[in-house]
Amino acid sequence: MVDSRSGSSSRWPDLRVQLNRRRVIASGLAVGALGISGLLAACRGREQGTPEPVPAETPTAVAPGETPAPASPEPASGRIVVGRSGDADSLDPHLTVSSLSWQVFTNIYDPLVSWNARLEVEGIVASAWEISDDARQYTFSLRDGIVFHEGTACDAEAVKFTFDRILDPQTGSPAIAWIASLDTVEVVDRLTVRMRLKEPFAPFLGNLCTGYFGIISPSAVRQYGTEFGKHPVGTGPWKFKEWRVGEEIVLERNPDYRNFRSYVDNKGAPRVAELVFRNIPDEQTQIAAFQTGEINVLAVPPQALADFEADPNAQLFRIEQSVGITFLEFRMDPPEGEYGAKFRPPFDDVRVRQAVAHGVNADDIIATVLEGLAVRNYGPLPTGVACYDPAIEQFGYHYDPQRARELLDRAGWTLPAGGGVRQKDGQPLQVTLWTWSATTQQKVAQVIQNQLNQLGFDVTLETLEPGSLLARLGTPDDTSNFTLMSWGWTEPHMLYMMTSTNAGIGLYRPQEYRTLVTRASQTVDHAERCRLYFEAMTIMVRDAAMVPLWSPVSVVAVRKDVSGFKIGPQGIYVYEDAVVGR
Amino acid sequence: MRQYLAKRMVSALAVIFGVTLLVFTMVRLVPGDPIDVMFANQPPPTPEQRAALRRQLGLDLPIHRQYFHFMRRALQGDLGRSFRTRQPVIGEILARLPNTLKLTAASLAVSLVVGMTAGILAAVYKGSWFDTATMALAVLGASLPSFWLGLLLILSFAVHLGWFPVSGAATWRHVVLPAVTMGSVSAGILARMVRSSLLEEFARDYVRTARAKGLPEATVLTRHVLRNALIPVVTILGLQLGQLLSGAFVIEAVFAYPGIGLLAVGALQARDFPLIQGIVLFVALVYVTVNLAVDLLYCWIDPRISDA
Repeated sequence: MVDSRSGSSSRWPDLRVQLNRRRVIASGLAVGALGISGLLAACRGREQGTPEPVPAETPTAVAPGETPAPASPEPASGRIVVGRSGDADSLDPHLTVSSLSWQVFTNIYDPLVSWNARLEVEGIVASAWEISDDARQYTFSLRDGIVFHEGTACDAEAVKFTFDRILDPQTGSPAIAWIASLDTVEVVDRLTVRMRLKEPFAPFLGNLCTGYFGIISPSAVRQYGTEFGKHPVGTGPWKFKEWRVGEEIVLERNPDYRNFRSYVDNKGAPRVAELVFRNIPDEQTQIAAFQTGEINVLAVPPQALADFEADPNAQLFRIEQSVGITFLEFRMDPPEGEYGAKFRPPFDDVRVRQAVAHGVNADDIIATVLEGLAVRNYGPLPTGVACYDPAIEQFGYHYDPQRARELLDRAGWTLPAGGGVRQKDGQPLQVTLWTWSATTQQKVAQVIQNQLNQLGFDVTLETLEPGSLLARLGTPDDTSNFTLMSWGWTEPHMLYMMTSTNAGIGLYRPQEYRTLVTRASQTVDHAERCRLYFEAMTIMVRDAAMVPLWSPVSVVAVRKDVSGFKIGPQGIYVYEDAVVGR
Repeated sequence: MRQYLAKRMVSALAVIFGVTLLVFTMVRLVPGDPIDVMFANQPPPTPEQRAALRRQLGLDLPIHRQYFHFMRRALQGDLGRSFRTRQPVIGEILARLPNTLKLTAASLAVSLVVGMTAGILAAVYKGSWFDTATMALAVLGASLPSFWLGLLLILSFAVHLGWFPVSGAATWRHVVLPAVTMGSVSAGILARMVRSSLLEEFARDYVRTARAKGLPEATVLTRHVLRNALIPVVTILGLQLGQLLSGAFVIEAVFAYPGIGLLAVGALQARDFPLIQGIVLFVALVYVTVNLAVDLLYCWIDPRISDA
């Protein structure tokens, strides 16, 4: 996705000069804002979202070099047991893209930089960084005294080792695509490391915030080789203890940990002895396990929300800001050449697409089907991603069935006398809607089908198993006209990425839009970058290229015996302030 | 005897070969690219990411060559590596095997103890209220969906009474509820089988002779009738054992019991071809072996069979 726009960097005025040689320190500046977080919630092909960012209390900035006291006031005890569906595949951050793995290994590895509560970049393993004049050279100063769980030092060599391993084709790391602009990594001195990019790429710093780019122990990789994923060693707050495959992964507190995250009050080691991730595939069993106290943290299945609200043992955390978006996308063909937007009939007429946008009552679906667990969104950018601006609503489509009917009339799709299905040149307005087989998703699709049929569409609903849906979209086996789809990403670069795939909105590439999102990905100045994205979004909305519906809201239940549990930036679960059973 | 054994072995091998061919083709015919599933929670892979992964996983080869590779390695005892964990498939299966064996043994024990006892008592007290009640329960046990029974047991014995844990496999207490769930289904079938088979034997002439000799009823039952009634029971047990192994797929998922069933469910969802193939091959091997063992057991119980 990055390479495809190489060569275009010279075409545009260089807007990055504003950041020339600016020293960016830990809690300072939102550079390139928000990159890709590995949380990657809301899912293409999944129903249940992952939690989203909630601004925490005013963060205490940690100046570079300042050492927080490694103090733990009381002896650590107790366990936090997180229930979830599925087990990690590997705890080697370079060999997996599974969010089930990510959920575990972000606690084991610390990245160079990470998000603070205001979604700005702050230093974790790095204390400070500097971006060169041409915005292609990033120099990181590392904190002194950080050690891996097995005792070796986390220095510039370890950082170089980590990134070289990702870049090495032998490793076969899928994460390479998210830092594809990275060219070389060079050790300047023991605590300084320099990265050179092939081209300016504004989301780079944000990308480094994700768990996929946590620093790994070179000595452990050498010791375990391909088995490193079963014996992970990092510098994070939790050490790997045991993995009973398919059952649970047990982490124990790192007693030497110094916490540099501004939104964590406890600057020392975690106060809970063990952090456990338990695999419980069945939802009913998850709920039962929460009720018995076998697990004490659980993402609440939406249809069980009322039960949890009534449970006196549960504290609920509602995560409003989302990094996911649910929308309707129309079947498209690849543009001839670099730019273009070729919608398939009958949606090749913008008025028919706009009729769909006006004809779906998203607010009603949120209130009834989703039981309030979503936030209406009028644009393609999720509510919890930087550069999201609610002002997009003024360009968006509100529920207006009358207007929808007028648009269809004007497009030539008229109701025959006594007929319920509109026609044009003798052809009925028959369309096929695809969605994937998940209970909520299916219900939503049924309501949409019903709402559109009332306008004179004849909608056939087809439900496919997720793997099969993804495999068929955009291929000759694709018999859909439009699809109920979700996408998730935590960086506004998502506007580029989601229009760079081989189906649906992924093929929407009009020059005007493409130019703006490309320029934005080369713009390091945050405000300017957001302005470019907003402009791009107004074009996409004007074209009704997709119909944005909502961003999901998720709820986490935590048993009352755990206090101090928090939701961190981008919805991560924060265990370092938590105490069990006091 | 030897000829019988050889014949059975050959047909067992044919079955195994057929199974590998079928599974290999079927997992690839099911729509859903493993790479798409891998990226299910992410923005879709770039063409470069996709091509690199296909090469790594060996999916870029034509299907007949993939099968050839699979068989060549399988014959050497290597089932390849899992797409997801990149660990050897054999290791993944063996790691879960003790849990599944524990659960199967426990369910079989439940099934044998409950099913045999209920069946024998029902036959001995034929026509009594005990017989009627037991057979009603047996029908109920055999026809309840096991996942439903499992949830019911979780709610009663774990959530309300707190006697047993809901999920996991750490201690013997974790095995009780899933074993009872699985065992009760097969106990129902077994009880009915034992009862009818015993009643059939009781009606035979040798039983009348034994009774006429003045043998105590208990001796008639244990020394004569039971042994003869055992053949159909062993058949059922063999089939049940296979069913216990495959029934474990559902039950292991309900109780989050980390055995081969849970591994299989995860593998299917992830389109982890090598792992699915490995598990199915393994289960087929077990099934065939058990059936072979059952056949041999017949010969031991009733030597007339091998001559036939």
